[in-house]
Amino acid sequence: MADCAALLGSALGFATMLAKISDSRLLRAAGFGFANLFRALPELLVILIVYFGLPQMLMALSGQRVEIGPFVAGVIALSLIFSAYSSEVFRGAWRGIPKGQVEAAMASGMGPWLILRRIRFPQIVRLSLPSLGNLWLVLLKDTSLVAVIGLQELMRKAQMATSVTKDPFTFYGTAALLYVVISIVSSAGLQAMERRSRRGLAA
Amino acid sequence: MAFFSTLAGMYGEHWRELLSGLWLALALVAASCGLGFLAALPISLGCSSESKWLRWPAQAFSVVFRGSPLYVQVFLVYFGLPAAMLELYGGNVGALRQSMWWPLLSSPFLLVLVAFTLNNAAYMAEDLRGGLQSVPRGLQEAALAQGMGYWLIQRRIVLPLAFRQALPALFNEVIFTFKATAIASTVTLLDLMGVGNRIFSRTYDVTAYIAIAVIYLIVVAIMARLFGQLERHLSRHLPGAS
Repeated sequence: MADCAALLGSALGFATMLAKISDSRLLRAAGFGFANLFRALPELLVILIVYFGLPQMLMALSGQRVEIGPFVAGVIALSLIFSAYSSEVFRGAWRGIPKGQVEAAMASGMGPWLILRRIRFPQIVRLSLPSLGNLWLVLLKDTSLVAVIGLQELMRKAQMATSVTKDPFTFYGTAALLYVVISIVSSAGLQAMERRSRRGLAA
Repeated sequence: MAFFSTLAGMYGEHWRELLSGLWLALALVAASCGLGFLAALPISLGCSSESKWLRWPAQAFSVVFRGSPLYVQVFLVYFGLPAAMLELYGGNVGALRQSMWWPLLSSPFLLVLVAFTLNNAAYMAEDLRGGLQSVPRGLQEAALAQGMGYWLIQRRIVLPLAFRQALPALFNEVIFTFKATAIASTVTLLDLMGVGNRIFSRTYDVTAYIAIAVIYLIVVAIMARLFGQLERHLSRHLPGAS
């Protein structure tokens, strides 16, 4: 779940970033509007609006009944939020690339797409990894909110176990500790990724 | 266009409810951020302390409350704390009712406040720790050379500087907390989100959620503007600040 949302969200975030730095004022406004909107709304509210609102919207557009399951709704909602935050991270990384490199690439006869792919993208990934790692940890914790629309994830399982055993402290405590463990493991993984992305760079 | 008239109708019909929900959310933000900040001060000092016995518990607290979702923490406190206390009193509800804990355990708002305060304390302590690290070591040594004691140095030199450095991050925490109040609705509190849920369950009209989304947007925009001005005001003497 968090994997899907992070992948989709990163792609969408990159596109939003491109919109934000584009020369067209319309695209820029759309990019900033989109990102600010989803950064300002509570995650829970976005999940509910996507879960209940999106099927209605699609129905109004297509005239057909559309069903969206809790998993898909959760992934869409969390991707939107992740992309809003990550677009801001990518924008910072884009600015962090020295202008001279792009000019040198242009002087070597590379086209804009080639420059994006060979010069900019690899460096943006390296520069934005630490912040993306933080966003990943936030996303991981947000997945618990999808329990509200009934998806059987960790939190929902804890709720079900509690309603049977009447022992809330143990089960919510266990759920909390599991999240802590996942967080610690992922931050260790993220640090390894950061080290790898910096290989070949003078310390 | 029909959509906008429905939206306007939503505000016209339910403005009282929505306002009381907003009020509850803001009260929760103010109380939990204030208390959380007070708790964060000793924790951040503990995190950057030289003694292992102070550093260890402070760091453990910070890892646990930042590593698990606030949603789980709210459930843990809301359902778990009363159950655990009941266990402590040997399953005797009557005795628990007589105890000093009853006012806390019988109030959903206070229980949610406890969870939010613990969470805020952990995050704000981390912000403050960053601020503490930014205070130049030379300043503290100079103060020491002037004959100031540890607490005087903390109070006069380190904390004010750390505070100003951490301020933008702390303000972000306040905005995050406001967004997080939506979680309080999952344990029956009628905050803004809870009011939205109630209207939605009566009307099955998603416009209810859109209506509260607009309110969240406006409040967050106002907060961000206000905090930005405050930050500029507090750093007006620094070089390079306009």
